[in-house]
Amino acid sequence: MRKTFKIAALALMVSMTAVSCKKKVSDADLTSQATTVITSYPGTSVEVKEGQAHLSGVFATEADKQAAIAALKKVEGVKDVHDMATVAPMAAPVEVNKVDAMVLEKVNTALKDIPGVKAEDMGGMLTLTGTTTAANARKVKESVDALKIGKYDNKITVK
Amino acid sequence: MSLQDKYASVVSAAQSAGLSDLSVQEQDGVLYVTGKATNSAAKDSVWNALGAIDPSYTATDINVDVQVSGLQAGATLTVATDESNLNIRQEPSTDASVVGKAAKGETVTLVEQSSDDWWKIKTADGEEGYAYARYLKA
Repeated sequence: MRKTFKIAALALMVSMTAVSCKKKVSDADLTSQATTVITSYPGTSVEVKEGQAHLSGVFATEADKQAAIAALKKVEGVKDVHDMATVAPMAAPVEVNKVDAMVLEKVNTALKDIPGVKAEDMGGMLTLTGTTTAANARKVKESVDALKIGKYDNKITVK
Repeated sequence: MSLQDKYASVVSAAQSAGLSDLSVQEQDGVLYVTGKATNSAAKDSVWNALGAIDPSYTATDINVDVQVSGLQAGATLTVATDESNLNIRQEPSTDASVVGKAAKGETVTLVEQSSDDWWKIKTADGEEGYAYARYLKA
């Protein structure tokens, strides 16, 4: 009887030791580690459940998403990554207008009340020259920027 | 330094100005900040932020296209010329004949935002025609 008790106690001790030796990282710890890994991707989040990482949110690019998945797989204790994230749609490119007679006419209208500033079409590149005040230079830029002609040459000197 | 970083304060001003359809895009070396403002103060706040970075307003690596739009007919506008009277024209062109004038600081009524640069307005005296939008504050 006494012996049996001893064995039972020993068995219990062994089993308890075995459990503590397993050193299982909790899901909460893994989630916090995984979250750190993806902090550089705003708008995304990750949660680890039973060792499975669930990635969600919106990535800026597909490459970012793949990089995040690869990084999560390297976290010790993460068995697999479930990709539930999406990639933001590509923004449509800005429509840039060519400098033509109509654009030049609009620029010249905008310059009518601004003495000393001249606009020219230098081989497709709008070129502004002259000297004026900062307030007037702002009016010019407001009008020219509204036409969305891309890069132009602004040589206006502000006095 | 990326253009987004260089002009971060302009972008944040645009975000806090409550613009609709706001888009911020870098393309071919130009940062395009585009949006619609409900009033002149919102538009001005974006341009003031640019002025803090580029006091001469001559930078061409940023394109700020913030227009006051969506104003209702009948909206009250203030004439904001430098000194002179604002010409009210028969057609939206500086070649069109002048049908009326409005003094600086005068209040006029919006008939229609015909385009970004020309708005149809009506004075208290009933003169109606097109004025250059730069000189109208909403």
